Amino acid sequence: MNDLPLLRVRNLRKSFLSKSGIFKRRRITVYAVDGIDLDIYKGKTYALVGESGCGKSTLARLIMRLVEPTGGSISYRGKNLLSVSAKEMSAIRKSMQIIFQNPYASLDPRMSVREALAEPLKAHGLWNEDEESEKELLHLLGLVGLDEEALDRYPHQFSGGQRQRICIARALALRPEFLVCDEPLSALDLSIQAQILNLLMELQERFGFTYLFITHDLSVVRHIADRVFVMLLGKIVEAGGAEEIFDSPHHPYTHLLLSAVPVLDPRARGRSRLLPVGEIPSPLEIPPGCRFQTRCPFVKDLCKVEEPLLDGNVHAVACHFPLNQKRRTASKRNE
Amino acid sequence: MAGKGRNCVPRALRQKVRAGLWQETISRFGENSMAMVGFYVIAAVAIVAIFAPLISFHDPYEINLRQRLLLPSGAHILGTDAFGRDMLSRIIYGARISLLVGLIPSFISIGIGSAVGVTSGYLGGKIDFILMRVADIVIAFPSLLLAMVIMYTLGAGLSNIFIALSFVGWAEAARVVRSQVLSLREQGFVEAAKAMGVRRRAIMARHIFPNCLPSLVVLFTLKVPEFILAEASLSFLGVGAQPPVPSWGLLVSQGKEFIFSAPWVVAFPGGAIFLVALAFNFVGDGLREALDPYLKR
Repeated sequence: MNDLPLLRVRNLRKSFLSKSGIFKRRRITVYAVDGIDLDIYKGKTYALVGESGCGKSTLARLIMRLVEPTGGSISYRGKNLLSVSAKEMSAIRKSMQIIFQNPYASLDPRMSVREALAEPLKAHGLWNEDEESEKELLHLLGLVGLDEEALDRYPHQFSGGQRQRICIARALALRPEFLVCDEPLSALDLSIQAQILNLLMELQERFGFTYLFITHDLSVVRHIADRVFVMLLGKIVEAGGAEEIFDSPHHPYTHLLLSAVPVLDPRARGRSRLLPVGEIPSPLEIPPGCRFQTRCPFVKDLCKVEEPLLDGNVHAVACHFPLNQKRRTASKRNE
Repeated sequence: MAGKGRNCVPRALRQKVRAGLWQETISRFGENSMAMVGFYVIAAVAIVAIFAPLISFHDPYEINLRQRLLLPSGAHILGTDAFGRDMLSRIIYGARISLLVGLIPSFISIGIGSAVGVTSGYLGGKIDFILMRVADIVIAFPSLLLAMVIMYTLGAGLSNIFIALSFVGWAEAARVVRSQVLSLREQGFVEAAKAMGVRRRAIMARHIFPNCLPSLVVLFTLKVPEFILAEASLSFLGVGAQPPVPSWGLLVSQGKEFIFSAPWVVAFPGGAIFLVALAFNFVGDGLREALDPYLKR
């Protein structure tokens, strides 16, 4: 691991103003992303997990500069993305791409595959109307396992999995080094999920991509991720190597997420599962103290007063009373 | 079950064919018989308008006071008007004016309206606010009154009718386009284009505007009969086409004195207006249906 991270995020925040009341006089600031630090090194796969609405996708959009952050900094190869010129940003865009959750929405229904794949090339002045460019399109299709026939067809003529392949091909057109995958599998069937996942892994092996994989599917994470970030209501509550997190989660929330993963083993039936208590707090009214207090089975008085900070270097956790025991059921499952 | 299976097979086969989006839409349109009837009526009127000198037996301007207000007969199939002019020929020549009055202001108003709508919807903020308030003012005005004011100011005449109707019509088109843009702007593919580094203007031109086209096509077919009727109203009120030009509205206007003594003088041009307006409405409905299933998919 060399010392300079590819992407460094510091204290990144994004708030939305929620207005309510008849005259919209009651204004509440909602923090979708509330002070996040990330270091992403080249060639690794990072997973960002968390429940719906915890700000995962907002974080992805902030990193891709699709939404303006409220505060904090994002730097890519040492360049601060929030202050670079438009020209430099355009160059950086070439090296970081995003694959979206919904392949049904992220392709323009009025554009043929040819036009869709050519678009990023055109936007960066890499497109000439010649044989060479045409070959490039075929090459891209080949990478994702589609053939020439696809070029003149329209998105509605493809299945979800094929569309996601087209989206991936489009993201590869600019030869990026860093790919954000924002739940790329969640809109697909289970069997197709495996295909797309394998495709992404093959491409990583071939081109050395760095992935930030956003998902709520924990069973996938263990297979692909080197490092895992667990996000809860806009904050990272646990970060560590994939093995460590899966084998000994320190934060009760992580433990809860893991024990909610179904296990494909009849012998594991009746395993001791950690069950949540209480309700998810509304993001509009996050209680003082720990964000997990309303649902934590181990909640103590301190948790209701003081917010725990992310503590630790390799395996960091934001909890006053981190768990320590190994999880037994999951670790023996596949070996 | 059987019915479902039967429908599934041709669709699967059709998808193998490399059909463009518009071809698909056209084939769906062709399956709609009402819409096709409307289409044939419009096509027939267009042909008649283009070849008017070849089709009509009489000069539409030829006055023959001895043959005033004749009943429909072999010599004058639709009878004659108060000056003894052949009604059929006048209606045939009138088709030229009515079609032009329907088509040209529709093009202009939708062109202006979509430019305003796309800019307003995509950029938002102050520009949006100002443009939409201007559009509100135009819409809030009774459109016929506004058109009359413009006609009084500019003077009667065909080209001024185009100006007046375009001015009245753009605001509605702008509203329709803007509302489309507001939803398109949030679509995944627009965000994807931004992430790829596509410039704002290119996103508007390549993604936003083409996706508005289906509703613009439908809007167009609704605008055409509206403008044909508006011209008829303006002419009827005396600020549109000027006699002896045989515009359909003017024919009705001039025939109104004889509505009881010689009803055909009013009925035939009125019927022509009715027929063309209805035909455009059918086509509009058909297009909406033909374009819709694809949009929903």
